[in-house]
Amino acid sequence: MIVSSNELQMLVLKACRGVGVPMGQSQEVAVALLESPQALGALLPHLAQPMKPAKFDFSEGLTVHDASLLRDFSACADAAVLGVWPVRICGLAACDLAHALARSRGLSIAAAAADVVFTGKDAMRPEVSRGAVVPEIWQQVARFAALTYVPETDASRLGGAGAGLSDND
Amino acid sequence: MKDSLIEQGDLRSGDEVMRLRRMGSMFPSRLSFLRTLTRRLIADGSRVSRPHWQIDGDGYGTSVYTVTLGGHCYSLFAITQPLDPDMRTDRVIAEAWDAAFVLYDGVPDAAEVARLSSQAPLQEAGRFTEKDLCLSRANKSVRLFEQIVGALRGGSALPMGMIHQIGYLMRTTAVYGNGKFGIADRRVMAQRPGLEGPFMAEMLTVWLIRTFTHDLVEHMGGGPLPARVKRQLGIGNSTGLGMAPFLVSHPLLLHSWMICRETALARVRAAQIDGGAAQRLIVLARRAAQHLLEWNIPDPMHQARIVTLRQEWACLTQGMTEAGLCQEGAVEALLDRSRAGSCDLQELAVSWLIEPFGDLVDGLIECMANPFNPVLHAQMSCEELRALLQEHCEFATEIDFTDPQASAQFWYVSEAKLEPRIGQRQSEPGEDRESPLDIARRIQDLAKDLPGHSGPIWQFLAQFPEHRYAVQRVQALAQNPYAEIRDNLVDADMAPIDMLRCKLSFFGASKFDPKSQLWTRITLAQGAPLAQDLADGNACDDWWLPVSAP
Repeated sequence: MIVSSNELQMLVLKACRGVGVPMGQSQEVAVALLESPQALGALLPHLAQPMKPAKFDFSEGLTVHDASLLRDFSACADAAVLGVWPVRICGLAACDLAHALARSRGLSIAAAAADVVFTGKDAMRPEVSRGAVVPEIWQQVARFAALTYVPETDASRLGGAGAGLSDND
Repeated sequence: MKDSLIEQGDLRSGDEVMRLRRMGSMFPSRLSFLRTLTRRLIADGSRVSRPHWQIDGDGYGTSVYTVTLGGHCYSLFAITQPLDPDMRTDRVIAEAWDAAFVLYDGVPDAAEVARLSSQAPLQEAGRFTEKDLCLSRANKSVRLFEQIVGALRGGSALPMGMIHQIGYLMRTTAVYGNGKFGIADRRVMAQRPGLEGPFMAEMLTVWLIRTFTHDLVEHMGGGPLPARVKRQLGIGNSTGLGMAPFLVSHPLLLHSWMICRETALARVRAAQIDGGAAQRLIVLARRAAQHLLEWNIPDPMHQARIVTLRQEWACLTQGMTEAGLCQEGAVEALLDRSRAGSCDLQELAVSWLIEPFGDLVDGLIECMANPFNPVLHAQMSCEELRALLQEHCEFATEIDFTDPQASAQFWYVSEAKLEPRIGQRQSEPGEDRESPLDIARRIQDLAKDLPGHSGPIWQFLAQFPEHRYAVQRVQALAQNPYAEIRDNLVDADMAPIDMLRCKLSFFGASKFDPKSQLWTRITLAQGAPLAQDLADGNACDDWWLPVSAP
């Protein structure tokens, strides 16, 4: 299935919002997958995973426990970009999505035991181009995106758009 | 560079310009995108041909129009089909239309015409390719369409009163671009000469659709319409809430549009008016008065605004002379006097004053595209951010959100064909799926959580990740004063029609005809040059505020 870059970006943005990822971080995840669409499948487990409060330790570099990749990677990337070192996200796998998020900020990461650590600031951001996605993965992401849609009611159909249902003038 | 040497006066402030009431009073100007397109078509010597026309006597079938622009060929594919009147609605939830269109990159061959014939009528339910640049559909203005066809068939007089009043044969109900449903991303054409400006592909689409509607009615009527009548027939558009969120989700683009318009005004304020420009202003003032007289709409509240504006315009422009306009300070005096009137008067005056000064302002259109989004400056300190909030965000921090009226409405997307809608927070479900257009509320929430924190903002955002979006926008606003609508977009009194009018005025829309506070009809390209005018070499870009007898 070939999708446009904008379709991919908008679907990911809505899917992230649908599961409660804040808007600013949702935008960054969407841009990362726009640049690395092959990581779309790696998004699914993170969309399905409940988010609990993360614990940030700023005493030596940055260490994060209980992080949600979708919500908390942005702050870790901010720190890495600004030269904070070391930056470690504990208990998080260095999946394709994590690499895509890092690349999107010009960063590189690596697995360190059961953690993710930031390793460099010279990653090349990929060129954006439309491409193929696996239809089954697309449909699953679309189900998360649908969590931003409000079910129709008679009242919303008649009043929510401010227009009638016939335009035969 | 010539532009760097042009003097300019003061810019109006963001606090003055970016208010919904003022944005909802804007008029088209020579910086509007359709005007830019027509100037470009004329400058390029563009020609329109019709390589494919298979339309039957009832007006149903397919056709292709091809135009050259900036060294590229683009084609409008059009398909018309019978439509049950019960199905004719301009809303997003429609599933069939009188006509469907695709702007195609190149000239479609027979196989591509077959593909487009199967997919274009499906609109949102179809799938498209990177060769397809825009997707659109339109419904007939049934009474006018039938009356003109009947007059042409019977050799009777054309219904000129209806032509002037309605101004179009068909209304587009959506013009999709930028990758929707698989069509080409904006990136594909962003560097192409002639399409590099904002919404240029969409404007080319609607201008070609207008040409198609003229040909269709002539084909069905069996006779030609006079060119002066065709120029009066633009292309209509019905626009609802789907257009409004764009202004919020593209803050830096909004800033670019606004600062170009404000810079144009500032340049005119610093300009010395000569006799030619003064004469032109007088002619245009008369045209504006006639336009206002001919602009009559059913909605009583908006019609009352037009009536008031007619009176105000007459007062502002009465007694105007060439000698008086050439005196130093004449533009400032006119602007000062307009400020005593309504926002409608003030914004009409802005568009009017800009109009004669193409040599001063037309170069600004090169600055109206902006592909960038706000980027977080993570090293900024919490103290610096607090200062930005104090300096730039009073419009948000001063709102009393404990008053339920301040958050009485919410924006959402219905699962019914993803139609954007507005709900009442106290009485309708869906608040938990609210679209993120509540920018003022988000900025205020940030301002409430920020006190007591210090150090770099990234550390604050690590602990308060929900404020990342607001921080980006506040930082962007400090550098881009026209990037935010400085009003509460969820207030009980918020009228989305104001956002629609702002955006549509940049498209070049005229004769706004609001059907509610959420929905409007407009006319595009009324008075614009015809394809035949381009071929004849007599096309000109003098169609600001169309009138029946220019």
